[in-house]
Amino acid sequence: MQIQPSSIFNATSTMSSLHTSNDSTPIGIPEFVKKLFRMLEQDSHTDILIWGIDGKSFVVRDPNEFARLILPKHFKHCNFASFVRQLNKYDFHKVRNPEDGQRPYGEQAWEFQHSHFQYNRRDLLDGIKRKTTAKSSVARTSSSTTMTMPSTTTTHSSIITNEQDNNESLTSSSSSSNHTNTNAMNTSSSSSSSTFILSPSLSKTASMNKEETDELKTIVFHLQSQIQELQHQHTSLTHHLQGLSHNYNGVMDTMSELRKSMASQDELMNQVATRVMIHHHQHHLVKQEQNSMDNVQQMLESYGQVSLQSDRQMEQISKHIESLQQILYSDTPLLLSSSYDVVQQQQQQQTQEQQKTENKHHFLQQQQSSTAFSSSTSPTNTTTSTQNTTPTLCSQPYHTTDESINTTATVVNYPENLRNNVGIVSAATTTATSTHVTIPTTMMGTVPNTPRKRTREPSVLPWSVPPRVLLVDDDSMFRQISTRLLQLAGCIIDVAVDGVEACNKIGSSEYDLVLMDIMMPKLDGISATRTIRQHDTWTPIISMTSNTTDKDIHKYIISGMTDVLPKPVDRSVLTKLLERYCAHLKLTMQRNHQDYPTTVIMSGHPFSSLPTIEQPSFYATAPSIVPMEGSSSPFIYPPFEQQQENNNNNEEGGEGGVPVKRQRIIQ
Amino acid sequence: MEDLIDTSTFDQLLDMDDEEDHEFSYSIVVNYFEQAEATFKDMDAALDKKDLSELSRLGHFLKGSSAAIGLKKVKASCEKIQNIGNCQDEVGVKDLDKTEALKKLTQILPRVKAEYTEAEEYLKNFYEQETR
Repeated sequence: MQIQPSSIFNATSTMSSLHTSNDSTPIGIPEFVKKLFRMLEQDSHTDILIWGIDGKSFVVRDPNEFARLILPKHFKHCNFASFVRQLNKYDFHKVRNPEDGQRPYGEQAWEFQHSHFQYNRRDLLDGIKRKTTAKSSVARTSSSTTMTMPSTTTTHSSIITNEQDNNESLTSSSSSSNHTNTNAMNTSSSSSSSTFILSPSLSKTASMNKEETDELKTIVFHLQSQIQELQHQHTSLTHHLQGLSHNYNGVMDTMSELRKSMASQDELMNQVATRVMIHHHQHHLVKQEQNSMDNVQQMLESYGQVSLQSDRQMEQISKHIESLQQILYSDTPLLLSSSYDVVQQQQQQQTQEQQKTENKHHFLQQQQSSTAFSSSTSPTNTTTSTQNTTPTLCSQPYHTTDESINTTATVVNYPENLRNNVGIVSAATTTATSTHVTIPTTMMGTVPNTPRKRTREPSVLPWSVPPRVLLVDDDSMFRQISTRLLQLAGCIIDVAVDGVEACNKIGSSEYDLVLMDIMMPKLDGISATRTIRQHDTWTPIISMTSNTTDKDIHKYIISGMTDVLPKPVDRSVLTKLLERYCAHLKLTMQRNHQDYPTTVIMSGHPFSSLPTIEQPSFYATAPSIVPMEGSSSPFIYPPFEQQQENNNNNEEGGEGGVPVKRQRIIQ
Repeated sequence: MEDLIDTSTFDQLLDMDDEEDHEFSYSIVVNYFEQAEATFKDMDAALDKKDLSELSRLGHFLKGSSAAIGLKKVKASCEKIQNIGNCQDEVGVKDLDKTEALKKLTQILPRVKAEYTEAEEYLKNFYEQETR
């Protein structure tokens, strides 16, 4: 019997009212199919869209590029999800990857197949119809339709009903947020009323026979396998996301442990330093003091190194998390697993470093017990001892720190050095502690380098933290020149115009280095230094002067100056001085990185200065990886479009699928 | 010109400039011009007042900035002024009495100004050429 077109159209329009559709009515070849065929015939983007190997399917090799470049040419949108949905509607099937995991077309490729969509088979195209009317098209195109038996009719209509249910359940599940089969069933029961409209009309059409039954059965089978596939994908993605959230947790834990260990080491070091300083007052050996000064610098350098390493690792971790985020949003399971590995590596590195720091921790504890402690003495002793050491230092004012740089302060050196430390140990420690005031603010960016002006020569001295330098000179020209030189070396500069201002500034803030002119009005450099040294024995004060006779140098030293910088200022000399006195702030680029020293104790480390892990200044990225509540539960994987909407809206948790806010990572 | 400007010092100054313009070094040089001219005025006043220590101080002051730019001659003369103002001879060794000192200074002052003018010319030309 003939199918009455009108009834079919009624059915179609009824069905279409249930689904948001933008396709034309199925006369001849559907617009969508035509466009699709055209797209493939054009063959213009073989890296994005090609026929399958046997011509019986087509492959989107790069969904992103496909959506960006090809879709807009043929459709009014550039949404891959919509495209996939339409394919579903026209009964295309996504070809699953073979069990052995081979991806012949590429990692991101999607292969779609339809029995009537083949290379160079335009004649078959009109066999592609929308799924809801598949049965009627089957009925129409099948040859030799004859009378049906009433029983078969009823049977078929019931099959049709079921099929309609399945259809609707599938399409509704792809366009709404119901994702379980039970929900689908519910939907189907609610839409069963519409099937009543359909089935009578179809039963009228009645040209059902065995052949058509079989076709219907295969269609049902296809649909069921599709459902299974979707479920499978859903489960695997759920697993992936669970794994990732577990990963996040792990990383967070690692970081907090690391921080804690840093803090305890910091504390420990402080204690050691205090006690050693006390101990030192009984020893006034100049040579040993010099050695220890160098070693102290080594220690500080290594502190800086390790802190830098940790920073870098933090950065890397957060970067990887960021990339993970992006990958999650782009919905590609394979990519997820690869970055999973990367993050795991990062974790391992972190744990290794942590272990190293812990080792050092233990060692220092031993050291502490072996060092002899004495009662404290007055501060003036410290001052004199500092002054006593300076002659030795000044005798080699331009002694480079290469030696100290090349020696890796190993664990073995510590016993000797700790015992014979200068008041400078505490000084240096305090300097390091003081630097942490600046560190958090400067660490806020992801890159530790300071911005430097371009010069003709390559710029010097990458700092992990820019040194804070106080420049004291009454001559504005010199101030300008020196400021410029210091800026080019990457320092932060503060300026004072005479000795009085210098004392005030040093009294109120901490500096890593002071460049002090000698001849100044109000209060000259020497007197200013003396005043400063009454309460500050650790800040290096360097005299800038054109008078560099031995007598003069002696005068400077007596007043408490650390070193001499002759005027006019020579850039290389200034660089050397900076390297020497701000070595602890330097980046470790000159060092041999293979095995950075295991002397990992840090004091005044930025980590320890931050009370909680939620501090925004340094851990700007950390909070964003805190998994939200309910993330460990199997959350529902949303359909493609909704997930993208979530991306756009930046929703949290729940049905949004991915628990982490993207925005928080991007600073 | 070699003894007028110390090229290595001046080059170092130029090195502090950003690549294309010489804004920074030029600003330094202009600053120097202003400073020098003011200092010369002060020196004249100090000489009138026969204030040797002041003259010495001013000499030291200008010596520094001249050296920073690399103006060898001017720097040398300023050093002389500094020493003589301290009642020491030109190299800072022998002692002078006040009258002698003043006499010498009276001679040196115009000389140093002339040297300065020479340097000023040179520098101005240099920058005009550079920025052409």
